[in-house]
Amino acid sequence: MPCQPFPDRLRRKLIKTVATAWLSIPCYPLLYSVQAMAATPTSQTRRILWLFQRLTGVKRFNHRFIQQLLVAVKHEPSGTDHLHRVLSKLAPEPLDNDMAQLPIDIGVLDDGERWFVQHLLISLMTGIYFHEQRGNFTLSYRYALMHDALQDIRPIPGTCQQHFGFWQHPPAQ
Amino acid sequence: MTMSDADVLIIGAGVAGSLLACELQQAGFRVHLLEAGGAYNRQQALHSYRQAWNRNFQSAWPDWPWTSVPHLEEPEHYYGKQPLPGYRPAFIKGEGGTTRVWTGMTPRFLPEDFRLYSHYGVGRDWPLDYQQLEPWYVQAEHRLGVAGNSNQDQGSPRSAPYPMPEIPLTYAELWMANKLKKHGIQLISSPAARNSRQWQQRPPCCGSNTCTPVCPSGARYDAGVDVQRAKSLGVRVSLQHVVWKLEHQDRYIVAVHAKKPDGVSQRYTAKCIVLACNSIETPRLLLMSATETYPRGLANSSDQVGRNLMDHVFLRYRFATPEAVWSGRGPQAVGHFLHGRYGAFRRRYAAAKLFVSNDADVMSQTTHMLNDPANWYQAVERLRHSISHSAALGAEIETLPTSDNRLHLDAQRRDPLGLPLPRIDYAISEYSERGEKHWHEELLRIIALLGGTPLKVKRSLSAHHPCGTTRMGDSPRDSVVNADGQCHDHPNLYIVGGSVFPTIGTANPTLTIAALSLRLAAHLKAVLTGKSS
Repeated sequence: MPCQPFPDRLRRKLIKTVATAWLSIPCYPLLYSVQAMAATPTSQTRRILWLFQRLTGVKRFNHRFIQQLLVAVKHEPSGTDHLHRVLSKLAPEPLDNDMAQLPIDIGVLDDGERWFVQHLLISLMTGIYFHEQRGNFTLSYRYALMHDALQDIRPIPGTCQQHFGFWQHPPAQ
Repeated sequence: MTMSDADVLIIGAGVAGSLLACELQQAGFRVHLLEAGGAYNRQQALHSYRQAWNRNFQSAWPDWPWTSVPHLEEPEHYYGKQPLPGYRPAFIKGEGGTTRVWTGMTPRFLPEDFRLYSHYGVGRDWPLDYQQLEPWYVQAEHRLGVAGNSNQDQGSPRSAPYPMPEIPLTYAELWMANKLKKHGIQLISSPAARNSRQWQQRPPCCGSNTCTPVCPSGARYDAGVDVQRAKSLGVRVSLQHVVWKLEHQDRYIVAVHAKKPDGVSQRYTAKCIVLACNSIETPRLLLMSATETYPRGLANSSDQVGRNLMDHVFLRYRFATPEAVWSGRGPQAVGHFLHGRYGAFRRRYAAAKLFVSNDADVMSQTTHMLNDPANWYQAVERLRHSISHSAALGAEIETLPTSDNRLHLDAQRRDPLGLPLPRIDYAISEYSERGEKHWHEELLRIIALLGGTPLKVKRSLSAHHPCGTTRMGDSPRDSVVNADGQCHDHPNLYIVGGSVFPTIGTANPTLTIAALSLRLAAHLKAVLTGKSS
């Protein structure tokens, strides 16, 4: 069954959540980690981070990047509804950290929810938010996982942090 | 209103125009350089590139709202609709021109490339030969700052070493070279205008892997360097000047007319006019300058202006490798294969430059991978494996000059200043089709020798190397300019750039454009001092 518009009450709650998260940015370290989730502002953010860790295998995410992604989701016509549905199926409370390393069961998702998870993952990995109506835009270049999480094997493109000729050798593993 | 007058007025501040401007100003002539686009800032370009969602070779650089360029995303705005697959070379305007976005590869033409008809019975001979251009290649390599292996015979004899040692091959290329050696296939470091040590106040390459569209350190040459140098030498550089008409009196060009962004036109005079605005905009300007005396456009008594458009057919194969080779580290392009560019086969099918692409294309790999939900779990680890276990090979295949491959002015479509936009007719010959088929199979053969598995092929009619639309030749009947770049029809009008190439060979064109520009500078110095006609 395709996702339906989200009830106003819950939309307001999400907006409040995101606004709270935004206001709290200076109070938290630059990088979120799942281990530090107790310090995060909302249960929903904790659940999203838990889901992202479960999907990508990455343990630490850039705080600002994640917040920008959530704001962008909020601006989708059914973004909050999709988010709620996906979290309720893939990251239900209470979160079990033992499950974080296990594959997710996407069989529990309907087509619309599956599309939404793919959309979140593409945003997270590429740092680009694809939006048909608003137009596509960059959330983050530096912290896109395709750059940030692979910099041990491939320097972030467009940055000069290496010595001449380093490319002759494989990355230190 | 008529503005200034200079000894030489150059239209286009790319590599050809800026090198020429520096040479002539340094020799004591008054030079005025007009450029349709504006000024560029590398840091701003890097920022724009990172902010762009579609990171292609144009996304780093600003659009100038008063003038048009063909966009990779929407080329029909500039070229109009074409039958698929369409020929739509992209370029940019502004200080430095398209060298702002090039990869920096600078192989020379081969001696045979200048004598294609004499050697192989196809195409056409140039009115000059390799030996005549060789000293200018040496100068061009110094001006651009080329790194290369001087002891490696690449088929183009040298009278002087490269100014810098070669760029070392990547780990993936060393792996390939080692595996292919026993099959007689040689992979070498391509000469490149990319610093392998400090050169002309620019640092050595640090392997940012964004050569196209922007080198963040300036290690890779772009002609913005020479535009700045021209300014410091005293060249008058006028940006945001869209030249739209050349004015003639009898056979001589007496003025050029340029519109500023507000649409107001100004008239500029000079003893000599040089068109250096690439193979699309140069013929466009000549055709726009048609008068009652020259109804087919200026310099066009031969009816060759806009014709003989050539480019390299572009193929690129991404393939999975049987072990980790770590592509995507270092410059976007380093090595090419020695075979493919010359041989008796050129009688039957087109030659090609076969190369290794070191662009890991991470964005495309990421989105492709995530299309399959099976890849969502541990997505980063899967991407890591995909990037480290893949590589890409490519081919740039020669095309021949044919009069039907041509640029016209469109009767309806106009740019923001109301000037007619170009329309293109383009198809590749059977000669090139045979070449494409052969080199396609050769890429697959090499991939098989490496134990690889083909993943994806990309094909385009353009490697963004448009050439040939105002070709040089000895006869005014079938060419536009002579071997010096002087128009047969107009003694004080010169053309420099890829548009004068009679054939395209397999080399990336920029070094040859630079060499021809420096050669033209020497010619103009002699002409302007009365030592030559």
